Amino acid sequence: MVIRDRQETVVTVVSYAILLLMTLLCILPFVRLLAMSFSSEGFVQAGQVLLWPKGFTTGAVQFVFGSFAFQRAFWITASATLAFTALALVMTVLTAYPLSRRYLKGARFFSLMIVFTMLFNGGIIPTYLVVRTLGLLDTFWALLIPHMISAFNVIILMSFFRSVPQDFEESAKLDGASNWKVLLHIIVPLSKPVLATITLFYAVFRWNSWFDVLMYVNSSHLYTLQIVLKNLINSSNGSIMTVYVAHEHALLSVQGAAVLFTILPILIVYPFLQKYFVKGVFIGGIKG
Amino acid sequence: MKTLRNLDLYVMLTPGILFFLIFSYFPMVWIFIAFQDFKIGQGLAGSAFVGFKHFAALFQDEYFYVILRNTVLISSLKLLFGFPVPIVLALAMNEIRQRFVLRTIQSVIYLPHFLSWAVVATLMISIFSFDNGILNDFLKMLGFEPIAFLSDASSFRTMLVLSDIWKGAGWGTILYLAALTGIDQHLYEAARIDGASKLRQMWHISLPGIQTTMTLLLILSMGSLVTGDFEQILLMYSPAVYNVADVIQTYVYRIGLGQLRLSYTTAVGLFQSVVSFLLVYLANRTARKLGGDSIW
Repeated sequence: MVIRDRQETVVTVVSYAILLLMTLLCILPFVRLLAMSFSSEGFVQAGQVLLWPKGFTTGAVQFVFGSFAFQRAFWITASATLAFTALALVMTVLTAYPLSRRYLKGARFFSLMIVFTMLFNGGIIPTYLVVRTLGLLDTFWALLIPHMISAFNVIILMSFFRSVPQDFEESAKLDGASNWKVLLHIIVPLSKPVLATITLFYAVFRWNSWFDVLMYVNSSHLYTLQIVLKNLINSSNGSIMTVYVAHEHALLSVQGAAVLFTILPILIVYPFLQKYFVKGVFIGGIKG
Repeated sequence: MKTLRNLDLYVMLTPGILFFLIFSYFPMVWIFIAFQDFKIGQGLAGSAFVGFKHFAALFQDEYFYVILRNTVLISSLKLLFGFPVPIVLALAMNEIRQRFVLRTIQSVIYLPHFLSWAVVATLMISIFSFDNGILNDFLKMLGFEPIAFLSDASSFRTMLVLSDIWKGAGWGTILYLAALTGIDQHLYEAARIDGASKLRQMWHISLPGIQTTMTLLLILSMGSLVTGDFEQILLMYSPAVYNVADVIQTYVYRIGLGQLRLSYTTAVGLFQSVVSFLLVYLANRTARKLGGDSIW
């Protein structure tokens, strides 16, 4: 009995220790980055900044937040994210709902067709060539259209729609409701947590993804925040550096401030969405 | 009457199906250029058919085996070291009784999942870079020589694996936690009455309870054994570590679009797609034979 109690305590202590370690590992890099962003150049170069700013200055932060390249990239990213998320959400619902109706002829075939795209794809070059053929290269549309529907999200939504009791649909249809009405007035209101989750997935994808931008966009007036940040990272040994970095700030301070600029919107929205996505992923995970 | 009533369902479905046709199935048609000497100006119809020429070149190219080795090795390392971490974290989280503490921990460790690789790479630089990384500042303070973690062939893969685990481990717990909360609490009570210790309960109740989730995630990750996270690599690597870090996708991007060797790199990409498809298919079949859990 005593041994069991002691083992229980050990398990609890070890659990807390593991999680405390992981939590610290997740927080400390940001503390470090903040310390860098708010430190003056001399201390950064000398490697004297650890986790607290030395020679406190807001110069690098002001430089990034005030820079035209970053502000332009912010608006491109923000508007692309809003437009993309709205479009993607509507398209995903419209695709998933009919497929979730087992009585619909061909639903199974089309579902398999979508699942197959998760397993096999044309690859980078053929996809690039299709986007090119459609004339989307170097347009704002390239940020919206090529990745608009995620097969994965369709599957999540489909399995959730299936779990909504059929009775609702049948009684609504007896009252003469069309499928559009059933979808908008019954199914969608019942699916809020899942829809919130998928919204989050799409928004995060568009906000964070940069490889598609790298491939499909050439001109700098369409650069997104991630591309600007990427150029800043790869610049440590290149010439792009001079474009972004004024001489009086250490590169690491500017990179830190740039990260802050890039993740600030995520940090602001994150607490509000958290309860939804946890619930939504749980539902999706258990059913799917 | 019935089909007429469902006409609106087909109308809803049309844009989505068109999307997948255009952006998933049309590229599959363009795979054909792997069998051509494709020139952009001549188009798909005008370029000369050359059969398996590019595949022959591929298998004779020494560098192909380098990228193949890197691809498989990096993904396997990520899987080997990354797969158990969320399971351990979820089991630990399951022991936390204070809801507030649990919520706080979750908020923090889910966050890295929502950051881009560009952000994560910057964080890595601020920690591991040769000149200004905190780790090297620390080493120098202790009187050691600084180490070029991010540009040294011997440590670069470790960096890739570490940052991958850092970014994904917290988020990876979410499905396991869902599975753990789904376990019937009576099982634990019964085990406790029978005298089962905490570790025995974990072994005999918790782990079997999340086995389905483990299988599912394992099958899904099989496909990525030959794809990997090339956004991450493309951001973090430099010519100094190409030899250990160039994977199929980064190579296809670099050579395909950089040097416009479109046919050749499409052949490389096709090889990858086929292998990854086969891996998922085999993993799924094996899982179904072994335990009955499978994706389809």
